[in-house]
Amino acid sequence: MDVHIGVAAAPRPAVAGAKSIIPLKGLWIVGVVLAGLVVTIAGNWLWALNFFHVAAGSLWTSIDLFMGFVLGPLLRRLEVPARLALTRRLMPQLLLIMPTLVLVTLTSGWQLARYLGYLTIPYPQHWWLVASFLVVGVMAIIAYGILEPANITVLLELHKPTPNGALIGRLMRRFTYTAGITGCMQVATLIIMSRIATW
Amino acid sequence: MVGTPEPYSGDTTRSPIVACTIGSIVCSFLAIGIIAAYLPQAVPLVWPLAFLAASGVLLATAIVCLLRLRQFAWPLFFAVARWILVLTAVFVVLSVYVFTVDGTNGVTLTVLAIVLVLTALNVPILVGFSVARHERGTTPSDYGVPTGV
Repeated sequence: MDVHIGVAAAPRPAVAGAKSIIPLKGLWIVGVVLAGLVVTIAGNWLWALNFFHVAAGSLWTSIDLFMGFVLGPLLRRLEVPARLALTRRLMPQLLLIMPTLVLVTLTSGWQLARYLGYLTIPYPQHWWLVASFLVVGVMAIIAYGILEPANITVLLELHKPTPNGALIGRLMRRFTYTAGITGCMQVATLIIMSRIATW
Repeated sequence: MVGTPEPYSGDTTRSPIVACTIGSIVCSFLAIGIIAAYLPQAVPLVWPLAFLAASGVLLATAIVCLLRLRQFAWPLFFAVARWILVLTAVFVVLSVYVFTVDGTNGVTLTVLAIVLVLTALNVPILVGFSVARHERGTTPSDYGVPTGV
């Protein structure tokens, strides 16, 4: 059984009437993007596969690097109310945007590699592709194991009438020490993709 | 002498559930990675099957540990896990579709599909537990779900 650290306090009541942390209004955009992706895969069109992979991959990498090295340090210097206000509005959108970008990038990337014959390239060149798989795997584990739970917990906590500042502070620090790792992974992705594109 | 109580900053214990689900995900990724490194050529399935088996055992262990929990925020766990399950299910369906379109061999495709399904189950459990573990109350009714999840 889990043992809680700290003095037990009266439990905070569930929030009534809080808005959904998942922006349901944006789900139709996700649906349109995924439908376009499925049609592209079925049609096996090089230009469309390239568009989806480059557009989604660029956005994924740019948002990750921007969040980690620009917005993150800036948020830490903001006053707490401003920090909470931005977090409350930004994070729900990222809950929809980032998984969609990842899904589109990986799926279209695999099909693009198959179309261009990269999957049958012999070793040692093939190691560049394997390296890209490793990088994605590391990022996925960090995302699902550390960042996503912290993101959701912080959002749910912010919707309570008396958010637990200590819990929020501890979880937000995860973004600090994982920003360096995910930043390195994204830079590695840029290097790998540039190398593959110029074979 | 009464000391100042420390503010509660969440459940900081090392959990076997987190360890098992992350271990299971790592094994799944290794299985998928090995298969992806060989496709579209014939894939030697010894290591992918070994990693698949390890992933399954770790997932089962995590589920057993989860079911043995007392005083746990189950409503919050399911509220979070169901949305993550929708996300991972979309990922699995799209991935299986892609590999099917590519003409992946039946046995390899089956192994891939099973590994992907294991991952799809692991991630919601991991995220749902990681969120719900910080919630605390003195009675089950205290583990309410914030509206909007």
